[in-house]
Amino acid sequence: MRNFGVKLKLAKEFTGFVGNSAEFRALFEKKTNQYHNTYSAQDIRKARLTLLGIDPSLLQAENKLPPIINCRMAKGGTGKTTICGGIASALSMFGYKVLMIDGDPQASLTGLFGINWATENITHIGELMQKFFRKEEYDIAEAVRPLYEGNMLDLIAADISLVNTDSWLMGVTNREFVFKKFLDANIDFFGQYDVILIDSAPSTNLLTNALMCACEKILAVAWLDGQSLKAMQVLASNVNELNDAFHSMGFHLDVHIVANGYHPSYSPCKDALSTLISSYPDKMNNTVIPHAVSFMKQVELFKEENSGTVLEREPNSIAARAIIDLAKSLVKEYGIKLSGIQVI
Amino acid sequence: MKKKPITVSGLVQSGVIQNNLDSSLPKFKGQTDFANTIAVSVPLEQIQPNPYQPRRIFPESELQELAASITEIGLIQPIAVRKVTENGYQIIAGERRFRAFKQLNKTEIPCVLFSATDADMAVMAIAENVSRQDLSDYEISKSIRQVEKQFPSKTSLAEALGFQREDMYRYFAFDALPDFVIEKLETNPRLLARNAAAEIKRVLNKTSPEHHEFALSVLVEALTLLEQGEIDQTKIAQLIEQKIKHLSAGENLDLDKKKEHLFINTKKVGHFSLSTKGIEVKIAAGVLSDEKSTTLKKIINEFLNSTVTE
Ligand SMILES: Nc1ncnc2c1ncn2[C@@H]1O[C@H](COP(=O)(O)OP(=O)(O)O)[C@@H](O)[C@H]1O
Ligand SMILES: [Mg+2]
Repeated sequence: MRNFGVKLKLAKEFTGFVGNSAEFRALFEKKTNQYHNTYSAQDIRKARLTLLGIDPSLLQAENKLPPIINCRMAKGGTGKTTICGGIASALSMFGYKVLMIDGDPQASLTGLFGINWATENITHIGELMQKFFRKEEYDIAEAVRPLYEGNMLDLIAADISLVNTDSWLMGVTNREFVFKKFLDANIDFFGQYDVILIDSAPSTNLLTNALMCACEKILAVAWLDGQSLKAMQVLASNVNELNDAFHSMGFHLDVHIVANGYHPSYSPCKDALSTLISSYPDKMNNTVIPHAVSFMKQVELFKEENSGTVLEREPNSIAARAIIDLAKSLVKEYGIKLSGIQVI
Repeated sequence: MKKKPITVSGLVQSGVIQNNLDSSLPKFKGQTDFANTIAVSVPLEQIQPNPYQPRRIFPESELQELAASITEIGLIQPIAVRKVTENGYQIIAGERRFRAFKQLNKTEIPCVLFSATDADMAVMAIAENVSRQDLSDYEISKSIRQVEKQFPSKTSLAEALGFQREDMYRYFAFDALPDFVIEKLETNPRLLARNAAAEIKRVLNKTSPEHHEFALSVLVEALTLLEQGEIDQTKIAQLIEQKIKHLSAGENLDLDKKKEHLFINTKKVGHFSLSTKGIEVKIAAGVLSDEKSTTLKKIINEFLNSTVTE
């Protein structure tokens, strides 16, 4: 568990509180414990519900899958993991219950949250799906790692053995919809969350296809240089192919794009952004993630336990601000709701 | 050192990036790029009506006519469905054709598959109902409520339905009405339209707690009058408001009921009335002579004093 909390100013912003600080503090029960002066994801959720006049204990999980944001690009190093982990911690701090699924055998999302997959016992999503299809016993709750208290941020971690999932999928009929079926069959579990985030691998394979086919709209993370934009070609043909194959059963996958790594004094990234917005005028997120050193400092090479998202480590940095803004816009874009409550 | 966040729109506006370059990346095909596909045959038993549809009554004669034409010339236009489960479809458009096929005891019907979200389905159901002349505001409000969950906010719901925001709140006003009103609406949905409902809600909301019971009793009365056609629905809110005003001004609204008229032969000459304010006796001018007036005053005085000493 990570004891992460934000200070008053951010807490007020995340709660959407407009009154003064004393009024804000009054929303919380007196704190005597170690993290006084900071507000956890759970605190903020409670405050938002209180402000809406809702007793959190009376809330029921919806019997419906929450929106799924799958961070995707047919290339490594474009910022999928950075953005997936970043918006996950931001959305959780806005009070939403977030489940992350590490869908990359490289397990960098798992690493970003300080879990050493080499030494820990990990049950990944491939293993869970496999057990489900073979009608073996499995326990998702057991596989999930709680990161923020109150199940505000949970992770289904990955390790290198996730690469084996593809060879299993080869032999499964209707394999593109294996993940979707798994979610539907476990709606009681997945319905507890307000949003599910997936960090996908760069490859175009059966696992990445299956992880996409449960979504309505993937989040394509584009790194701003010419070479990286070529990956857009691969992604487009991948998505078009799936849509071609399954449109007759009512399936359609849409794409939302976020640009990452903008640097004002570097002209190729301006050209790349111009190309992106000209090509996909109605698919671009308005937030542009800047090229920032803070992002590079997220992962500690020899001390995993000190790793963490830019929001956790430098909440007031430009990098964190960009992630917060992006997360806010995604709440709207994906229709994320607070336990099924529509916040107007 | 506050730095402004970098946004696509900001960069385009300041001319740092262009949004009209010719060279472009491959398109992602949109949903409509797949339209006009060939119809497939789907077993009737796998097809269900749009679940967001509040009620559907098709005149039998109309269905028979359609069935006859289908037997004669076949189905010209396949129905539109979406796939919801492995072997389950929901109708997006064409429920009449679907029913006619059932009547004909067919086992399959030509369908074109489209993808539609729950919100799309909801909008289609409501849009169809709202444009139907015969659906009451109350029924529309119920169907809106049914689909509300599919939308992230009331604003987006209003947008999807093409309603003005205020108008949508009028539909929502039905929800705030007391149970006895809802009961009546259930059997007679046309009793109140959305404007009247919104007005009643407004008046009830601003009524102070001590007058709430009273307001409800006026509403009960007003509904009875409305059902008897003795009052216009648009006047109900006003009536409640007025009666409360009178009540707070201390007037007895039931004055007429406890008022007993005084007669000489058959001519009304005044009244005797009992109210929370007291007893009032009124006798018209010129009925009593001065002498009789003095006697009456005396009698009253004596009477009052005798009750005190008793
Ligand atoms: N906006 C950025 N500015 C600077 N470095 C970044 C940015 N986004 C990502 N990085 C760095 O680039 C590397 C690759 O990012 P990552 O999120 O792991 O990409 P992916 O998951 O797509 O492979 C990481 O070292 C990360 O810290
Ligand atoms: Mg990654």
